[in-house]
Amino acid sequence: MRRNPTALHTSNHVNFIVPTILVLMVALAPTVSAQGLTGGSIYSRFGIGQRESYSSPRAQAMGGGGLALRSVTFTNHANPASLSDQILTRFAGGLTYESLTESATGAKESRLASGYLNALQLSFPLKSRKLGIGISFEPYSRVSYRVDNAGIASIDPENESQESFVTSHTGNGGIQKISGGLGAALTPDLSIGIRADFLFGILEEKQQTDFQNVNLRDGNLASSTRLRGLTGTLGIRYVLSTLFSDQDALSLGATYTLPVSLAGERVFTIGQGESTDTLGTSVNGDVHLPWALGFGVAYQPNSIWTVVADIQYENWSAFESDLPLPGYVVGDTRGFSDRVRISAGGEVYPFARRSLNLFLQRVAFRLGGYIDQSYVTPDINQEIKAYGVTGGVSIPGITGGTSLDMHIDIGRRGTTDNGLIRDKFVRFGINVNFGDLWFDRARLR
Amino acid sequence: MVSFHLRLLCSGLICSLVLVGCGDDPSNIGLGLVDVQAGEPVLVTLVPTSFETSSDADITGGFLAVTLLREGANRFLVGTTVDPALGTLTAEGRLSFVALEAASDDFRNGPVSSVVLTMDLNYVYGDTLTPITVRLSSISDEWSAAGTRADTVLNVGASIMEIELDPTADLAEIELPSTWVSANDVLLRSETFSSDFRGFHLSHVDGNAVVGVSGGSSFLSIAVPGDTLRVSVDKILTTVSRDASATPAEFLLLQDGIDIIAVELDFETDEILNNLIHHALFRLNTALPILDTPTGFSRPQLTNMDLVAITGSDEFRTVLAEGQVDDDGILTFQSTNLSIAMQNTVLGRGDLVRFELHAPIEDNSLDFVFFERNSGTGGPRLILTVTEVR
Repeated sequence: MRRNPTALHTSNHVNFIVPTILVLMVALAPTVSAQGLTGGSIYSRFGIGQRESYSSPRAQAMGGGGLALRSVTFTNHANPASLSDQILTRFAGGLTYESLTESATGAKESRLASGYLNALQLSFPLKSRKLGIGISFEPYSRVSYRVDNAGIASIDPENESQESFVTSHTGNGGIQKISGGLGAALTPDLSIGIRADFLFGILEEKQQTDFQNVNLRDGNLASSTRLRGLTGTLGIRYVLSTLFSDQDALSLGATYTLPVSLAGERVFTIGQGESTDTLGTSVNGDVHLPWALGFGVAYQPNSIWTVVADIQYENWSAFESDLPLPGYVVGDTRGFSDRVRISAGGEVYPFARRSLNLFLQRVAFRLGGYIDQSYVTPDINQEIKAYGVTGGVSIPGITGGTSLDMHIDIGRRGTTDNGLIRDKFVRFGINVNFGDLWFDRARLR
Repeated sequence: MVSFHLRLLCSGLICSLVLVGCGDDPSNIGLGLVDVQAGEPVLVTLVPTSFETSSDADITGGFLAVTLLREGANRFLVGTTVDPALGTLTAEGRLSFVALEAASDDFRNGPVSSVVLTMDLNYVYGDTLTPITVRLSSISDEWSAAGTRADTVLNVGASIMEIELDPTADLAEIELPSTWVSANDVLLRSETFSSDFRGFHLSHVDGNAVVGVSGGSSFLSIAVPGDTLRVSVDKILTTVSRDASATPAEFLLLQDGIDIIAVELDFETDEILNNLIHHALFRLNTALPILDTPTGFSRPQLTNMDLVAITGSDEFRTVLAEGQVDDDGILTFQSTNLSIAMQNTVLGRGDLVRFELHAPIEDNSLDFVFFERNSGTGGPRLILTVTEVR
């Protein structure tokens, strides 16, 4: 029995990819758990948190859009119409590690770090390239910030005794999204899809006062808002083939997400150490999230190059909530504005035609950028925008459609004008993307 | 070659992640964008709504027999003194015994030839220049010790003898009369001695001093020909009475063995209710009024005291803090338990009714202290470090 030398070479790469994943997970795990959830931007405090979106490991490195992307090696969960593309059962997921530097006029910089889960995604075809299902778990918004303020408290005025303390204002949590979608190809060029999104999560703000002297009791106050609700997303994608050449294709994609009312319950607690008491009674109310519209275009002049451009619009100026939120007083939406996110990017397989090596042929490099105007601002006279440049590499695995995808996102958010904060962030993401043939009857008997 | 580059890329990424993670350095940037849920820790001083002598008398009973179970007073008092400053103080003490050693057959066969009561004298209040005379009596009824208070009414049995004691002596050895020994011969040798013998009661006959006897160091020696059994003190109790003393109105007297001071505060004031308590201290200023003190008259001052929490409808007692009067005459209580008790109280937990202030029960005495009453002159105050919830 002869062994395929190319396959052997590829398996060598897999042999180092798997340990690499494990090493990265080990390297990330302590930071995810220890610094974890409270090392992000102060802007994530406002509204329901910093909006997050995750389409696929591929799209993350191309600016984060990709509504019109089509692929059999990456499932595009951003647009349910793209779920019709599938051939393989696929699992994807990843972690992101963020390093953040916050600066303000006349103040010492703050450096924070955090790690979080990008998404867990599962998808499989019901009928190859005709009908597919996708299930995913990913963040919809993220609250993650920490501000430390040191002070000195008098504990015995008669003896002029003082003790130093640090008050940490932290926020963590956010809204998570569990989605189940179905995509169908009505014709080889036209696909439509529908997706149900269950939104749930806890927005927590905490103020922790810690004294250096162990004889003084530390204490914390927390406000936790639990939210949940169900919405849906409709998607459509149309492919124009052989537009300018025999090999090219232009894809157009669009999504519409319905507005949703999240049922909320807010609880205030006070605690010392492990002991926590609820203050007063819980407050109930609804938080109404607006509709959202997305449009994307992807152009593939050939099998080597792909370029994408996307715009996402969310109608946050119509936001309403029965519960006050940071940056929002009930009935006053002046701190809210419509969110617009524009992104563009490209992908190239540089060795696709220049190497006989099957592994190299499937190595992809990606580049992108985006601008994201936040839906909420702490200062009604100042919009908060984020700009970022993304890049990444896709390292193929032993089987077609399996890959390890890494991306980097370097950007900044906000401004130091008007007493605000400027964030500079660097995000490293590592994603795994497994594809395999499941639920297929053996063809040889 | 390509494989090498990929390895290099992955290694670089790993190193970058680890290096970036080492730089966590949060600051107060963004503080202006945080709606603080609570302010910074501030001081809140509460003045008691009531600071008076409790209607409950001090606890003067003690159980001593088993070391691990020892509870309450370790000293009983006996005698009467006319204190020109604080009034006439009369103390009666009693003690009972337990045979911790197994008696020999010789002892059981008796008869008892002599019984000697050895008392370790370790305290005096009053005239130290003149001996006092006390009466030693039998006790006919059951009596309890631990937790028993100084105003308990006791029944006293028949007089056995009178004893003269030197208030400044360290030890007193009293041989009981042979008639009493003969009358109690069987009881003294019986296996049920510990439960059937109720002990001795000591009361004032003559003199102008109150002496204290250490229960743990005193004992009874019961001798038979060829053998002596030493039995230890099992329990003790002191009852004390004081005629009305003329304490100046601006001061409050705390006299050990008699008084407990009850301290009541408004725990529901807005300054502390539902707020975070980081630290609590309770402080009092002692006063030193000029007192008439005759030559040779001992009137020790109280320097160590306990702050006790009284909780629940059954008035359960918990010592929260121990305090000592400093050189400036200031008494301060502070402890984690006090802080916890205050935190629980302002959050509606713990069922704290009031604080009590008294001398440590173990060292029962007649030591005294005066406290300033008025807040303007150093009256009692509870000083709390509080983070106010907004």
